[in-house]
Amino acid sequence: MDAEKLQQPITELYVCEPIVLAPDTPARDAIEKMKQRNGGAVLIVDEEGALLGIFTERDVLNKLFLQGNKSLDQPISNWMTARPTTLHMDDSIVFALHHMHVGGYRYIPLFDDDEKLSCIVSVRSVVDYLAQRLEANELGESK
Amino acid sequence: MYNPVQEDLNRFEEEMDHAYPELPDVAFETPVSELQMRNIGLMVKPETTIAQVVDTMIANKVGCLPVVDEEKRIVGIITERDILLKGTPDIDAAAQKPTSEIMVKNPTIVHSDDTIGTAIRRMHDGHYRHLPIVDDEQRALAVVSVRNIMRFVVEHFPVEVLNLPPQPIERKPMRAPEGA
Repeated sequence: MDAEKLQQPITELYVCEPIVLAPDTPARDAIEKMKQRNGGAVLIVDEEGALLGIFTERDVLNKLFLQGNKSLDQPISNWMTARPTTLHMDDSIVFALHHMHVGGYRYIPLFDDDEKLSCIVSVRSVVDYLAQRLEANELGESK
Repeated sequence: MYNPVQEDLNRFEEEMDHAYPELPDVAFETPVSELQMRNIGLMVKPETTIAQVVDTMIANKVGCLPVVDEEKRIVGIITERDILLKGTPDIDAAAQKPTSEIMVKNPTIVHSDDTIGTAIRRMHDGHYRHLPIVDDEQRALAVVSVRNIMRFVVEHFPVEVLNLPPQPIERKPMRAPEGA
């Protein structure tokens, strides 16, 4: 793997459709959605689809668990991280790595050319990308 | 016909090729224990409460802890995903439960002398974000995470990854959401 690979678009990594919720959704319902969809993050958008924030598994631990059951009835906007870092689908992989490494983000929402929220990329995608390459080169012992 | 100028040019091009940074295949043969991990020696017992597990995770900024017996042998693993799945919606009750009720028993592991490549393949195959690292006696040493693997990639391309503007230069600024 050379530096040139990092200049490929982020969509070369595995990206997935985001779970999108309104800001007044109770935290309880947001968590239920995360369970149902097997997602580690939900995106919070306004009525026009503009991104307001992100809520992740880490927020469940860091914020809700400290507050107890009463936190679950509050709107998700009380617990989300507002204005998360975003990228475009055609930005290169190197920018995703930059924000994941420097900013410590696990999930980065991606916009399409029409500035519409399109998908989400996670740190796990980097491992999946490397695994495919190892498989191709027959490196690393599979389980 | 021998052309010394062309020969020099070829040598120059070859040297330039090697000047570009890369993540060589041999790097994936490095033992997994050489990855930078912040959770070395961090572990909990089956009877530790979920409240204590959450405190430990927050204090150490980790999303996973190995669960060990008296001899520090691995018996399970507990992740923030497990806490979300089994610790909600009744957080107050879950906080008082022992880890043994929520942990995943007999997790997939890697040995300290397994390679980084092996850890990547096992994470990918099992859809795991964390793998406990154990010694020959099955004693837990640390946990390797997808973030550790990502950092391993970045370490091979420090200039490319770290010396970037906040957003790609050629792109217009992102639309700012109102009221956020």
